[in-house]
Amino acid sequence: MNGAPRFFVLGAGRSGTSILQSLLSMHARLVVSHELRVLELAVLTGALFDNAGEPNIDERAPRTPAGLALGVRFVELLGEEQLRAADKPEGVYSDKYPPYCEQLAHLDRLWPQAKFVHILRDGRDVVASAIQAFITDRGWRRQAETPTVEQLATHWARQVRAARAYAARLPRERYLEISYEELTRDAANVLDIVLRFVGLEPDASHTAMAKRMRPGKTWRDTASHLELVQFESVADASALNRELGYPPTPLRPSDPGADATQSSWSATLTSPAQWADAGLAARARGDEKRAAFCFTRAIRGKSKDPRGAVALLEQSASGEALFAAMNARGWSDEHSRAALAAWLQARGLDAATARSVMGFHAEHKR
Amino acid sequence: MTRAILIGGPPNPNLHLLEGQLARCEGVRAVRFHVSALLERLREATQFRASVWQGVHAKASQWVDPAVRRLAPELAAALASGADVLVNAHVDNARHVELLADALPEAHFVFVAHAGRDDARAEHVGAIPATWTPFVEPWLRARDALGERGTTVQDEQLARDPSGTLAALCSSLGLRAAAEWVGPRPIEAAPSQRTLEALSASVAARRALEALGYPALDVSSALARDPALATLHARSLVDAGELERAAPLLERLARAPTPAIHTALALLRRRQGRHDEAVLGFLRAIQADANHVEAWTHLFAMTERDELRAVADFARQHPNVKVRSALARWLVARGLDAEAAEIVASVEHQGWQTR
Repeated sequence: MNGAPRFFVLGAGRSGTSILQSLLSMHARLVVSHELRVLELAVLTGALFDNAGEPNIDERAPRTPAGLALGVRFVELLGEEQLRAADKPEGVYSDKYPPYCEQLAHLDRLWPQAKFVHILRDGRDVVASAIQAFITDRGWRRQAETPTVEQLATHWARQVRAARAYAARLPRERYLEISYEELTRDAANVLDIVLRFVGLEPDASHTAMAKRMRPGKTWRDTASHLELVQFESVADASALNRELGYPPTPLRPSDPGADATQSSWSATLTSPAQWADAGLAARARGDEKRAAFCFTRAIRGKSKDPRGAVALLEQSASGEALFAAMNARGWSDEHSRAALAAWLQARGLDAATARSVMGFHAEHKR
Repeated sequence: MTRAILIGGPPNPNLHLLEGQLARCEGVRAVRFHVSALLERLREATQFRASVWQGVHAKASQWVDPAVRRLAPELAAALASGADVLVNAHVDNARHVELLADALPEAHFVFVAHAGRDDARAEHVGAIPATWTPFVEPWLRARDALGERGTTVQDEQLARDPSGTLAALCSSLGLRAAAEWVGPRPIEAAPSQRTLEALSASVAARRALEALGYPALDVSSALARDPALATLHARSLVDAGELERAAPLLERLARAPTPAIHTALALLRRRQGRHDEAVLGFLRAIQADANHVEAWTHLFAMTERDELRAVADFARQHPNVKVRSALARWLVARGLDAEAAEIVASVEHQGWQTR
């Protein structure tokens, strides 16, 4: 059994690395771990070894060959044990992690035989998906202060360019680029290409799942006009998108395809108050989907309109409501606290406790 | 395969002196290294990374621990650098003896016992047992299972007769003994009366002292004159479940209460089933010191009590994450879903679900 990673799956965050990892893991001889970050683990092992096991390590200190060798060995053992746990003892181990894009040189140094599979996606979709993930994702990603579009676009371009820059030094048999759009359009074919690239024969187990893949939503449905303008304002991101062959953004009513995009109705919306008004109008029309989109934009930036949070909290079960709660929990105004108390009650807490925890205890006593 | 000899025990400079003497034996290499910290850190770091993996093969316990265990002998070999025997001294070799014995099934453990040493880190008498007991109790739990793989050396014997003790130890370890102890002699440092009283006053520490063959002090008169020592004793009685002995002592101490006394008394009342008084006790501890985290966590563990609503908003805004974590657990126990609880208590991305 050899648990050393045979290849790494990489791609800027929200480019489809998780879907690719899930599909590949269905192969009878393949385990692709989800962001185990084996490079970090190898370096951590080396750092601890070099620092006599003490955890107060100096991140910048160079690692000794003996320490790194132990780190590489630890990753190999982790790979072997995962293959064993997955009942694929003679299989192949890999790890996917988006930031590997900027770590190819280090991966190449520690695993000089490893291959790299880089998944690319339209930058506008990456940014729109990231915004949605920061708002609604369960677990660690959700946060009250989401990054700006410009930050996300810059990050995307930097990751993609870093991977491609190092890949230019690698032989062709060690680096493969695939596209997210192609993966969702014809998953079986793309997976065949990837599996053969890493030295495995395609099998039936993942083909059935691949056939069920459907193209997902694009930035045309999930980004506002303002967000698209902000993306295009990042020159490097805009240029990279063109280099990758993606069509330009229709930002004016006369642009081809403009009517089909979200930007056509959101072109005049910029301030939190405007977004909150648009959300209330959409809700009045019964368009809850658009209302939620508008309300999240009303509280996503540095300045926020509390009406957005209060409205989202009414949709108690949604991911957007959790995002609203994260924003509103620090507000002291009575209206927001009452909305939070009602939201807590809708999510299972008794009324008296819900109101008490939001500071309405004194009122209760009266 | 490299053979490891791991020396441990409560904090004591003689651990390293002994390590140095064993390293003089043929084929032995001494390495200053925190073995258990490396293994624990790697296990923790890997499990943390694996915890975000929701895939079908994500059962980390099935593969993280085996990988860490398999790494341990290779770590020992790397540290030995070709020597047949690796000797390593660290206080945590005793504290984590169970982990190490599992990871290094061929290793031999040497426990250097002493009846407490003064530790400058123990600023108040209540903290003294914590500088000694955590290093002794794991050894006492493990020593039967270790059998011939474990040896206890009395620190006092080592100081009195270093060469004789070394020779006997080398013989039991199968090492060709160095002729005699060379260099700085082991340091004999009898603990102060204060340290001995603190260890003797703590039920758990007293049991450990006796299990190691050391006589504990009669602290009855010290308990009468020293409220801090009496508080330590009373709390240890509660923790040990000796409620009838704890009750009169705590009731007497409660005439001049501190947050620690309020908390100990509240814990006693809770164990006695007198929950109204327990809640009141924890609330008094918090009133006396809003940062008395232990009172908060025990209070919010009383999930059925409605009085806790009175302090819920205060806890929600408390700067200490442990207090907010206790609140989140209480909210979940009262019916709120975990996602909402961690958001309202501001403990997302924290390990709040376990104490």
